[in-house]
Amino acid sequence: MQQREETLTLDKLGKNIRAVITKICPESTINDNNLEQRLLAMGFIEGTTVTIRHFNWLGRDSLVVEIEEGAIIALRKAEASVICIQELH
Amino acid sequence: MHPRIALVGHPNCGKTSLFNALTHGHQKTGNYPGVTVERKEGLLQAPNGKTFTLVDLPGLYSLLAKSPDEEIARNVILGKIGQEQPLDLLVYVADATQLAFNLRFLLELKATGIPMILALNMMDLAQKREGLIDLKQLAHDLDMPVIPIVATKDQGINELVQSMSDTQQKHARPTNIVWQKPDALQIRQRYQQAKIIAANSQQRAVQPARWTQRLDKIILHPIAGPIILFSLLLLIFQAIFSWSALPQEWIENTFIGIQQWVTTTLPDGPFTRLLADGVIAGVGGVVVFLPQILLLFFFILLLEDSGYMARAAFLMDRLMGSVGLNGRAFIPLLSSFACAIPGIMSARTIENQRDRLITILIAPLMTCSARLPVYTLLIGAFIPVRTVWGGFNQQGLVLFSLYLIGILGSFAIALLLKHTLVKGTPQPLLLELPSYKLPTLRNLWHGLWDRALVFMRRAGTIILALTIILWFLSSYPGAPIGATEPAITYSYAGILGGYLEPVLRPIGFNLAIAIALIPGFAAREVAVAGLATVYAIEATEQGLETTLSMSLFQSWELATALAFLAWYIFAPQCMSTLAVTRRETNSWRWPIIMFSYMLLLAYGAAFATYHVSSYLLG
Repeated sequence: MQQREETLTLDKLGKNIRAVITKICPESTINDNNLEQRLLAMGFIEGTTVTIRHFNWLGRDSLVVEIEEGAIIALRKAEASVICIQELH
Repeated sequence: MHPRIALVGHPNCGKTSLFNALTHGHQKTGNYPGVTVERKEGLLQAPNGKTFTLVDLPGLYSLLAKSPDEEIARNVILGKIGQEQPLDLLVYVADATQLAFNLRFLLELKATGIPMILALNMMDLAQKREGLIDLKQLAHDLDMPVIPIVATKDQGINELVQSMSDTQQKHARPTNIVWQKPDALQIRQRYQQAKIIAANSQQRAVQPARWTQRLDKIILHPIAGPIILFSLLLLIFQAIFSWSALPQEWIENTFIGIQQWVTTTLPDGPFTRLLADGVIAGVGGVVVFLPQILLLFFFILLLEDSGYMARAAFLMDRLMGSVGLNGRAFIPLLSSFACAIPGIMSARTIENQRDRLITILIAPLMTCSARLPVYTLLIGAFIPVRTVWGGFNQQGLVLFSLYLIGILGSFAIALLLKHTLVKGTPQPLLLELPSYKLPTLRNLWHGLWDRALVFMRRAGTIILALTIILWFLSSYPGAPIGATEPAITYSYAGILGGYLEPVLRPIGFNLAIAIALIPGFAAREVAVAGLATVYAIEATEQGLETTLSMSLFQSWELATALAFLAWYIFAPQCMSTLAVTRRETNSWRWPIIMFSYMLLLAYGAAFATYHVSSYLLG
């Protein structure tokens, strides 16, 4: 149980806070068996630093993430929730 | 057969710019056999006189095909397209400002064994942002030629062509291409490898694009963002209507001029009448949309080229998500305001089958430009010019509400479909927001030229054929001697319209409408041409528009006109749309569903409008 508290996912990260990806969790609620591969192919890979730059104007359901030395990607909360991260201070 | 070379790379890596730079516009777009994924090919002449066929593929991040677009690209690369000659060479186009990110897919492709060249695009931007790349080192590590280019400025193009010709000569066409769907571990390993290679040839990574970050702070701002988006849309529609008015008038006058010249010069007879009233009037009635369609596509291309379109999709994602659509559906639906056909075709970029189907099914509810002549004709005839609510033109307001009803109707249908016929889980968004760029004239020009050709081909074939048939149906057989009714009543169209009229009477339609709707089921705009033919054959020519709107005003009740407008928002009056839906969904099920739901909606809306307005107007 303790471990779960420590695990932060990208959808819970605040705006403009740098974080490093620790794991892409394959267990997801999204019915897309390629999601892990596709996230990886877009640059969401362990050890990469990411920052949330924008939220959708109607709420936090979709967000814009800047991948350091990578692309700027818009994704939905559901996809962000399978990306485990650790905040950088 | 010329050796075949394909351009591959991420979306937004500048493939299309490079394709245009290499082929100088000598290209043709067509379809892959069996499916309608756009195939773009061009011829390329090397300095030594050798000719190559250049293929432009849809942008990809990997060969993990999900959408129909991606599947075609993968099959072309792997040489699995039926009779098509397999590829001899791949030119991988990479954005030099995101080296490591772009190299991962390159490594995936390299593993197939097809000879490759790396065209490193946007070198100018990479250098500006301190990302110097050691090209020799990179070429050594990747074991392939690396050519720096700036596709939009034609820099490095000759060197690239030279390298393509050399590499193709050196390597035989691969006989067995190997590819296996990579698992997550392989992708991770390739990514690490890509990072190492990138770091090896680049002392420091490219700085993030400051301009893009600054602009995004405004464009994606929670308050400013939607305001900018909706103002842009408003501006675009305003521009489409006001800027196209003048060229449309020229086109109209030109065709009326030709028509008059034909009728006065040639001896009167069936052939002259066919030419003047059928062919010239019919084609003119279609070509008149060209300015509007081109203007809309001009803006869409501008938004796409500048990098704004992906932002618009992000801004709209939440809103569209509430009716079960994806932000990506924004572009197909926006295109559908010009014409549902390119809209339905661009839905191919939507990976999820369910989202794609819903987008296709509601695309024809967006008010396409073919409805405009009907709207403007009836609004001009029945809605008085009056300023209401402090500065709004009443005619403009009616037009706006017709658009709005279409959009709201589409949302309702999307919701309904989501819970009934098209079930499934929503797809992920995962959309790259590219750096902002200044659009280039060349890309705009080629894009517009393509669209204009497609549209004119349609006008020249289907619609021309239909107008000739319509003219024949409404001219023959002629009225008997001593006839009391207008001649059209005795023609085949009149007879058919007569059968249809009882069905349409409950929604307030008269015989003239019933007759015009017969060809109007083939294409919306033909219904106006139909009405024009019906009334033009009765009245004498003197300024088509005014005559027609006057005749309508005299012979229709207001409630009928309103019901006709309501009918037009929803009615499935376009054979091409249904045909495209059939091809895109590869089944008759969806076009039949589309046709039925639209027909039901149209009948219901017209019925309600007719009876409510008859009651209110007394």
